[in-house]
Amino acid sequence: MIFSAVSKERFVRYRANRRAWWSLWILSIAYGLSLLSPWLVNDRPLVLSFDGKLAFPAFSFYADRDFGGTYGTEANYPELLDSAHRAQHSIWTLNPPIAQDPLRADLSAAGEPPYAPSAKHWLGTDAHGRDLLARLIHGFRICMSFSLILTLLSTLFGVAIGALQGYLGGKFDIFLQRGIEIWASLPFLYVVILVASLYGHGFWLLLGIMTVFSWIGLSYYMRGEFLRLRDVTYVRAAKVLGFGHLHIIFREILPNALNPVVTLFPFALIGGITSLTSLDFLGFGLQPPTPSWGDLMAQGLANLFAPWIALSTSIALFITLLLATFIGEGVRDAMDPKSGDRYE
Amino acid sequence: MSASSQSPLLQVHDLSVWYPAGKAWVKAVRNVDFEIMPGEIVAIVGESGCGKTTLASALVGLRDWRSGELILDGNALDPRQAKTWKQLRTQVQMVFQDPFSSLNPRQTLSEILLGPQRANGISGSAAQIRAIEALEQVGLCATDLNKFPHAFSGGQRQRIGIARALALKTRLLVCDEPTSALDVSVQAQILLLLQDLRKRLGLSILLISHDLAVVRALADRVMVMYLGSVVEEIPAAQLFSCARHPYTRALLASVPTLRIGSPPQLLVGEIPSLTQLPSGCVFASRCAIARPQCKLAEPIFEKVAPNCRVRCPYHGDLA
Amino acid sequence: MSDASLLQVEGMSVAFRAGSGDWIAVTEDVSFSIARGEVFALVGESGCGKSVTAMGLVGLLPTPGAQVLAGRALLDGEDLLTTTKDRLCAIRGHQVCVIFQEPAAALNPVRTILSQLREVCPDQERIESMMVRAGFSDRTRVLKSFPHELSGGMLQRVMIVMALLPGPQLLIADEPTTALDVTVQAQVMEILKQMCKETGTGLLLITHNLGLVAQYADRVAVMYAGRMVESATVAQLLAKPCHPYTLGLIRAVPEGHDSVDSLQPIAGTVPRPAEFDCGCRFRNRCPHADALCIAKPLPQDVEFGHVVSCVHWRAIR
Repeated sequence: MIFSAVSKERFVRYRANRRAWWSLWILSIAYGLSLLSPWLVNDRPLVLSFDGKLAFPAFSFYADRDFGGTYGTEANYPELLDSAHRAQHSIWTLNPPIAQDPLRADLSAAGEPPYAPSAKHWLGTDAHGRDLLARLIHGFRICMSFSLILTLLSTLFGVAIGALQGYLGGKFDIFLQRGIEIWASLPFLYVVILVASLYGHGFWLLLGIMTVFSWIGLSYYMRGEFLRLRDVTYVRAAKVLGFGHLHIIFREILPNALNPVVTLFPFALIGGITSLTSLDFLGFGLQPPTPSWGDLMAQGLANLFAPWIALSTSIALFITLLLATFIGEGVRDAMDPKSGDRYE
Repeated sequence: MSASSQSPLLQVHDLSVWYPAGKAWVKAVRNVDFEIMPGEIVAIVGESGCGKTTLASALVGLRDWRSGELILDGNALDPRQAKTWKQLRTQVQMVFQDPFSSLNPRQTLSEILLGPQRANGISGSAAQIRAIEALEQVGLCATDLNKFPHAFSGGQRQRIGIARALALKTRLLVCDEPTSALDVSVQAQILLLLQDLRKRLGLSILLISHDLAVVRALADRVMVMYLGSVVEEIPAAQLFSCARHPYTRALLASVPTLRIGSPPQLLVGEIPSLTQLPSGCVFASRCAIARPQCKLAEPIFEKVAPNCRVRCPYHGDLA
Repeated sequence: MSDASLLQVEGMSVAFRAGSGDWIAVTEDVSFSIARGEVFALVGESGCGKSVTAMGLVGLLPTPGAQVLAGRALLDGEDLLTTTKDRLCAIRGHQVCVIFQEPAAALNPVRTILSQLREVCPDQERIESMMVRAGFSDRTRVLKSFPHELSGGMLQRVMIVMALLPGPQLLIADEPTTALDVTVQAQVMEILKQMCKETGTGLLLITHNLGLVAQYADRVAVMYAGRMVESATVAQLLAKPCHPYTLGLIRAVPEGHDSVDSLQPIAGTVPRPAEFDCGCRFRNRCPHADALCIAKPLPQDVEFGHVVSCVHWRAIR
């Protein structure tokens, strides 16, 4: 795909903004690593050798029975490691870097959870005894994935609908715009609560409902861009040259109308993260025990005497949103040719 | 010079273009007849609101015709049907006024020249050859094909706009103020190019302009428009010496020349609105020789000399 | 210069900041003077620096990417280029007024003309008499109108009134009629010149149209690539241009040509500021160029009031 000189110039400008450039790298690498969290942050060993037999618990299912137990359910690896020595089996494991399961409650310590940070649980545990660091990392993965997919889908719908409105104009535009305004005035939170209580709190269901409301903002921008570009000289020239509507929309106007899309993307991402976290905080989001930052925030608030919960979640959220904001500002500055004092 | 014994390339009869403005109609072009021969350069001059740009847009299909007949190479075509315009794409093309916005900034020259050909059924190596040929005809070269428009100056971009039309082997080039946005020294280059293309390719050119000196130097024939109708038609060589219609004379007198001591003369009054045209002759409210009869009925466009027509029965009164 | 001199500009240079952060001189060593009540035209093509010079005089250069590098601009003895921001603010709109190319963009669309003129001068009588002098036969209706109800020509005349109401000593008109039709242009220019003469205001007219210069200006200076290449009275410049660029410009105007074949365009293109060098910047396009042109051309007197910066001016003459 050829990038026009305009795009290349913007990319160079973005890269020159060191803060934005590094934020992009850090966030991308963090997200990339978090995608590996089911294997890297788990109490299932990567490689396990039990009485000379090799097993890969992180990648496949092994029943308790396979390791000398009585049940057909999945083996409990921390217990296995403890009991194996007593039962005199030879056992050797290669553990993931953070060997904690976000879903397993560890009540072995004295007293009641939440437990303070210790050598075993580096950031402590939450109110149910689950490792906080593992929950934070898995929560990051879920949160970012949710937000990314949400932003991508709402961008797609927003662009398509806004483009149609702007290009066709006239009565179609007016009627659709009134319809969108009515849609936008629906109380989004109540709809989410309603649908979630009727149909459950699944990841994809939540994603679906939020997508259906979040494309509206971008469609306003795209409508404006298409209305403006419809009359620009090279589009009129394209009509005279014999190009059809589809070509004009996709090859002439759209590539030049993507300014708002690119600029809004990071901020939409932030919006998505915040929305999901807020919903989870209120209890209307993802189903527990799914690791989520909102849920941790709620627990943190309820357990202020255990400050490690609230503190670590807040800091994680703050850093993520800060990095995303730097990226967004970098994109906005790169796209705007008049930002600053350069003579071109 | 113009070929007079051939049949016309394009004839237009009774063309009217109206567009809606609330409850009223803006009668931008009213009952215009004209024809253009192969290899002829016809200029249409007038000021804002005279309808020349609307006329040019209508001729390339950008505006709907309220009435009018279109005859290409002797064949009558229906301007209301989409297939007429499909057919005309390769015959009639347009060059726009602003060179900085007439090219898509995100497309290379290659795409700009090959795209329209593809849309009209020409592709592959034939299209490539035509593109390079067109570029060379306008004075650019094949190595420029993978550059983007921003690498070129205003004058060069205008050439690219012309090349884009030439690649389609167009026979009539409608040029809407092609040099207004360019500096005087570059303007001369483009005018020479148009002249050259006419000589070498037999290209017909419909030149829309407000600059009378340019029109006199480049065109064969001039049509002067005021408020949607043609008020005078005259050979370009006679424009400065024998113009007859009071508006044409006023226009000529307003141009600031390089001759010190002959200051421009003012045309009084304001231009009427296109939604509320005055009855009778539309120029009567500002005309130096208007009589009461002028407001009664619109004058007919009559021939007064070979190749000269005027819409004013009293033009002889002007000194 | 003589004490009839209203504005005296000496060695003015303006620089813009490039993408890399360096300062690039866009104009260099511009010097001219305007007498009281005189119409002075600054002529050149796009990119020559004429607008930049005018804006630099009144402190309207875009900040922070542009600055005046050097020079003096004495308005009645006070140096505009080194004075304080507050003082410049006081001068603008009172002693020096500016009108721009697009009058519709200079007026507030939600306020009537009268309310905007009152902002400049609260005296109703003065406003009305100026409107009459600006050729408005129906001034009451126009004063009550909003900008979008008036045509381009009318708006520009309103701007002229607005600029002349405070009684400035100097009026800067930056391409005032480029966006107007030729009949309207004639009207606006006539009114502009007449009103300036009546009020004794000096007019700095910036344009690329030589016809306007010939008809309305008293003296003219031609700029090319950031430098002033020739300055003279209008009669001197049109009768005996001495710089190859001026000659080229006059020859490229289509007026008087029966056919484009006799038009002589200037070959090549204008250099960009980043490409400016010390020698004559026109030498790549000049038929008379030779080794002497590598040095910076100095201003030379052709006759009284006529100065040219070209080594070969005698040959051109």
